[in-house]
Amino acid sequence: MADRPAGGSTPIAEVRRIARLAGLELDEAGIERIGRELGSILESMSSLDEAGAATHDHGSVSGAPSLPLREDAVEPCLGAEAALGNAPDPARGLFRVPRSLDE
Amino acid sequence: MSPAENGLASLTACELRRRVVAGEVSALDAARAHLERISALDGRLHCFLALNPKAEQEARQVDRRIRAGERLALAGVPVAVKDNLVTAGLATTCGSRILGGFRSPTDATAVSRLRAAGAVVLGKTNLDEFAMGSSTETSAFGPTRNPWDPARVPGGSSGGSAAAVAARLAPLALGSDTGGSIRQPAAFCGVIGLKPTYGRVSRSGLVAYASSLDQVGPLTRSVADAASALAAIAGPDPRDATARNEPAGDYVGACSRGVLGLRVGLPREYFGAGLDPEIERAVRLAAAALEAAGATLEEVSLPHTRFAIPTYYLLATAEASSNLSRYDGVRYGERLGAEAGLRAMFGRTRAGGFGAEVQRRIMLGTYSLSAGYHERFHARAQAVRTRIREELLALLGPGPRVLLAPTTPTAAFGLGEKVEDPLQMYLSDVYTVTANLGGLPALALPVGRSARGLPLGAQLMGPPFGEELLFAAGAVLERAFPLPAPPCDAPGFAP
Repeated sequence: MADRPAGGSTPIAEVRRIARLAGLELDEAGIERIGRELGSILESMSSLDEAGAATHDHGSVSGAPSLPLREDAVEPCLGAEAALGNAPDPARGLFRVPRSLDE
Repeated sequence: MSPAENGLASLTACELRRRVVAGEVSALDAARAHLERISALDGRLHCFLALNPKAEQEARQVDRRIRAGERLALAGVPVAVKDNLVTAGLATTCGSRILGGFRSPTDATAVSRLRAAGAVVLGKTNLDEFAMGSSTETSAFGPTRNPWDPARVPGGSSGGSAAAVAARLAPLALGSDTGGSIRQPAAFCGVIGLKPTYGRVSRSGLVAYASSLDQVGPLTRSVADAASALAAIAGPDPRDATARNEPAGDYVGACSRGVLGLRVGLPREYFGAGLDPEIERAVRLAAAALEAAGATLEEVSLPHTRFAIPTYYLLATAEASSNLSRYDGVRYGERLGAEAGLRAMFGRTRAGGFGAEVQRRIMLGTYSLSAGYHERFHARAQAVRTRIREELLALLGPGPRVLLAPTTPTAAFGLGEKVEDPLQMYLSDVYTVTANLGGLPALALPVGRSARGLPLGAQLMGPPFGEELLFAAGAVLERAFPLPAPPCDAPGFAP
């Protein structure tokens, strides 16, 4: 388990790492604000340490074993035109995005 | 007749339906009465983000179906729909800028089932952004006001739906409940709110926040209306594998069944420090009313309740961090920073499109799932969730048994009072999250008013697929604790 301060802010480098994983390009003010907030929220979440539940004893929830299955049959789908209907930049039946190979 | 005096808008859904079926009024009359009232009052409440421009046309269609001999369970009943349920032809925003302009090609299953039953969609209601909040203050489009006091929040995240029903802008609304988002606003606004059993109602078309916790349910002004709405929307759905096959119960019939022989547990952990004494008194009076009607009361204990908030927020945010990864400027909504490359587009679209609370929850969820922290936070929360569910199931069987508890620790709080303190805001869900963690049905309803005149709420929790028990007990409490209309019609009522 990685170390984390007992209270206060989450280290800035750690917040930057999490923001990168989360796909959020935050400015410095945002990084500092979220660092402070995460610190106090995670400190309160640490009370789970007292729960005494072993991490291996969680199973399925909400009765998953009897979930209904539908027939394995081909059905009409949404279609390209409808799927692209909300796209910011559709082109030739596809979602166009900036080139990424040089990044 | 002024909108405030309009009798149709004061009727319950069941009574309105009865009059429409009897030919005393038309579905069009009912839709118009509510649209006029929205026009007169929503400027001061801000329940709706958008109105359905085809509402009258759709009401005429319902009238034609009735004339053609169709028997419709919700004939002509106007309905408001929380704006995280997709609706064909109407924008869906989730209270967020990131979805700007999004229009779904289909209806959510719950919406299509209401339409099939003869309901008429009036419009889409305000909510906390992506249902993440307890006050509607995280909506990108501004908060909704509480119909009992415009300086107070209506609760959240289904605050627009709850306020609309309380203010007589609709007799029925759909909401979603991930950690209390139907029940908490129902308590703050003095209406009935049902979170069905997980798997009772299809989640297809509900924009996902935390998929193992989310559930669609009704907000109404009578228990029988909630029962009628659940009967219309419940059941399996090929579009949602978690919607279970269990047959719908006789929900409407259960409302007149009474509580003779019902065992009502009062969990002592729900009556401790932090609970407003006025709410404790109201809930204990509610327990006495059930006892007087033939139920047996017993004090019970749910020791893991104190871990419910951290468990809920760790699991819900982890699921949210995954569910909301789809908003990246590629397939729908806002796109920012495309000129700077693909990664910058993802990061800037999400940083610019999501509000502060959604960003906070995505960060928390990503953190708890990341290497080095997963075992300590996410895995442990999953284990505690299992314990909480086991404790609840042990108390709720063999039946017939329900639990009675406060819905919220306080009555509606002030606008701006908690918005800068996320932890305090999270604690307002302390009594509601357990039903979601356990996958149980829970019915919130008013059981009195505070000295300031604000509604005070109780909730009944039942075993999985035990909604009939909740309706039976809820109907008894409804008769014992009638609530007048809120004062939002008064000329002096203004933000």
